[in-house]
Amino acid sequence: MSTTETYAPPAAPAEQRQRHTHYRPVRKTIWTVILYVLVALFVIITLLPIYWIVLSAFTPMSELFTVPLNYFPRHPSLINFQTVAQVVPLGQQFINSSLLALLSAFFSVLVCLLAAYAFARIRFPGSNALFLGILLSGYLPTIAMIIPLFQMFENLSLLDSIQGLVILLVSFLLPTSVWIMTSFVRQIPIELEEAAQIDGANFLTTLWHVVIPVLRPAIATLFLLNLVASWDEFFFPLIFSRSSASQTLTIGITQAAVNPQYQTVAWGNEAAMALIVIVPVFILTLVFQKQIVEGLMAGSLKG
Amino acid sequence: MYVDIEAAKVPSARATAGTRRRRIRLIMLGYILVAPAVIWRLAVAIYPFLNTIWQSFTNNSPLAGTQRFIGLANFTRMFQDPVILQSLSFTFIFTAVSTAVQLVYAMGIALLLNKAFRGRGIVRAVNLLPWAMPAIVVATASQWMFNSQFGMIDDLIARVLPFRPIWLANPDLARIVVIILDVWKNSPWAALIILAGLQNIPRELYEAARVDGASAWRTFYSVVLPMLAPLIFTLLIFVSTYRVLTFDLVYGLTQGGPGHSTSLLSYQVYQLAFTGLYYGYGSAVAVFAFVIVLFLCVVFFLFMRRSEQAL
Repeated sequence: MSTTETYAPPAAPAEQRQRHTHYRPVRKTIWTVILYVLVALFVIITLLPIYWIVLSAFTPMSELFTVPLNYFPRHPSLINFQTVAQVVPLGQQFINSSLLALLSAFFSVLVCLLAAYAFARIRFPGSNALFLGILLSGYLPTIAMIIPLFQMFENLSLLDSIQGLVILLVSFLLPTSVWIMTSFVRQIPIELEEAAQIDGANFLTTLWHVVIPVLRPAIATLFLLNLVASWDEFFFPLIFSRSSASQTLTIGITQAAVNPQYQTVAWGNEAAMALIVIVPVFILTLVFQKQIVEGLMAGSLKG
Repeated sequence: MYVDIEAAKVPSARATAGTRRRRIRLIMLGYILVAPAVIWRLAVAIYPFLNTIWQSFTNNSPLAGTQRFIGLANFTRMFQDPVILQSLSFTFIFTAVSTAVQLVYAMGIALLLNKAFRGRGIVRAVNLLPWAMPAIVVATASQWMFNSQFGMIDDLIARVLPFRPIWLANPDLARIVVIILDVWKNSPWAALIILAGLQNIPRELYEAARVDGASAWRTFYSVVLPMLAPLIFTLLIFVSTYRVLTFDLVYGLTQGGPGHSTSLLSYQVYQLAFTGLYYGYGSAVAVFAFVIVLFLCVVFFLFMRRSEQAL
C-alpha cells in the first residue's frame, strides 16, 4: 500500500528525506520489519494474560506453584473445573448470567427502538429536549445513584432478583442505545415509509413491516453490544444480589478462590472460573466481530 | 455530540396531509413511543441521582436513627478525612495518567491496525478480546499474575533481572499495576474509535502531504492530528470520566489497598455506603465524584468545539 510509509509514526530525518528515492527499497524493507515487530508485540501483550488464564485453568493445582513456572501444561487436566463446580453454584449462575444478558439486551433494544423511531420521525413538542435529556443522563455516574437505588429496591422487594437487575441494566444501557438507534433510523430513506403510508398503512404498521426489516442489522448489532455489556456486568449484581437466586458468573469469580484443601488462594479454580465467564463472550465477539466493530464505531463517530 | 434534529425530521404533517385531529394523534403517538425510555431513565437514574444530592446534606444511615438535614457538614468532613483525601489524590493521578497513557497507546494501536499487513483481520479480532472481557476477570486473574512468588510477571522479570518486585504489597507498585490493567483492558476500545476516525480522513489529504514532501511525522502532526482532534476530545470525555468512576478493577485486584493507596472514589463510596452504612456521607462523596465528571465533560466539550471550528 502506498500509504505504508507516508505516515509511519517515527520521524525520518531531513537528510534522509532528500535522498528518499535513492534509499527507497531498503527503507521500505526496514519499515516492513518494524511494522511486523510492532504487530507481534501488540499481539503478545494482548494475548499473554489470556493465555495465562487458559494455561492455569488446565494445570492441576500442585503444578501451578513452581519456580520457575511452566509455560506449557505438563499434565493438562480438568480437575480445576471439577473443584470450582463444588465451590460455586455454576449451573445456577450460568442461567442467571444468561437470563440477565438476554433480557437486558432484549428490553433495552425494544425500548430504545420505539423511542428512536419517535425521535427520528415524529415532530412533537419537547422531542429535542427529551432526546438530549436521555443522552446527557448517561453521564450521571452510577455511583451517584446507587444508594437511593438500593433503598428503593429494598422497599420494592426487588433485591436479589433477576427482574431487579434487568431494570437496572436496561436503564444503564438506554442512553447510548437510544443515541445509536436514532442515528440508525435517520439513515433509512424516508421514501420507504412514505410509500407505505400512502398505501394506507398506519404508523405502527409501518414501523413493524417497513422500518424493522430495514433496521434488522442495526438491531442485531445493538443487541450484541448490550448482550456483552450485560454479561460482563459486575457492579449491580455485587450490590443487589444476595444469594444464588440472582448471583451471576461475574460474582462467582469472587467466590471461586476458596479451596479447603489448600491454605493459599486457589488460583486454579480462579482461572477455570475466569475461562467459564470469558469463553461465551469471546465466541460471540469473534463470530460477530464485524457487527460489534460497526456498532462500537457507530456510537461515537457522530460525536 | 448533537446532530441537528430539525434537518433530519420528517415533515410528517405535510406527508400525510392529515387533518388537525390526525396530527394530534401523531403527537400523542410520539409521546407514547418515547414514554418507556423517558420513564425508565427518570425512575432508575434521574430520581436516584437527585435523591443522592438530597441525602448528601443529611446524616442518613440505617444506624443513625432519624434522618436529619445537616447542611454542608458531610462536605466539610470529607475534606478533612485523610482516607477520602488519599482516595481523591489517587483518583486524580489515576485519571490523568491512565487517560494519557491509554490515548497514546490507543493511537499507536489504531495507526498499526490502519496499515496493510498480513493477518490484519486476525489482529483486529485479537484487539477486541480485552474489550469483551469483564473487568472483574482481568482484576482477579491479575492478582495472581502479579503475585511475587508464583506470578507470571515476576517470573518473566526474574529470568532477565535479579529481582522480583512485590507488586501488590507496595503502594506505588500497586497503583502502577492498577493503571497497567486499566490501559490493557480499555485501550482497545479507544483504538477502535480512533481507527474509525483514521478511516474517515480523505485519502487526498495524505496524497497532498506527500506531494508537498512532508515527512511521515510531519504528515501525522499537521494533517492527521488536526483532523482527528474533535474525535479525540470527544473520546477524552468518555475515557477520562470512566477513569474517575472505575470500580471493578480496584475491587477485584487490591480492594483499595495496601492501606488506602489504590482506593478510587467509586470504591470509597461503595465502602462508605455498603460496608460502613454511611448513606449520607457516602452520597456526599458520590456527589463530589459527579462534580469532577461534570468538570471533565465541560472542559473537553469546549476543547472539542474549538477544535471543530479550527478545521
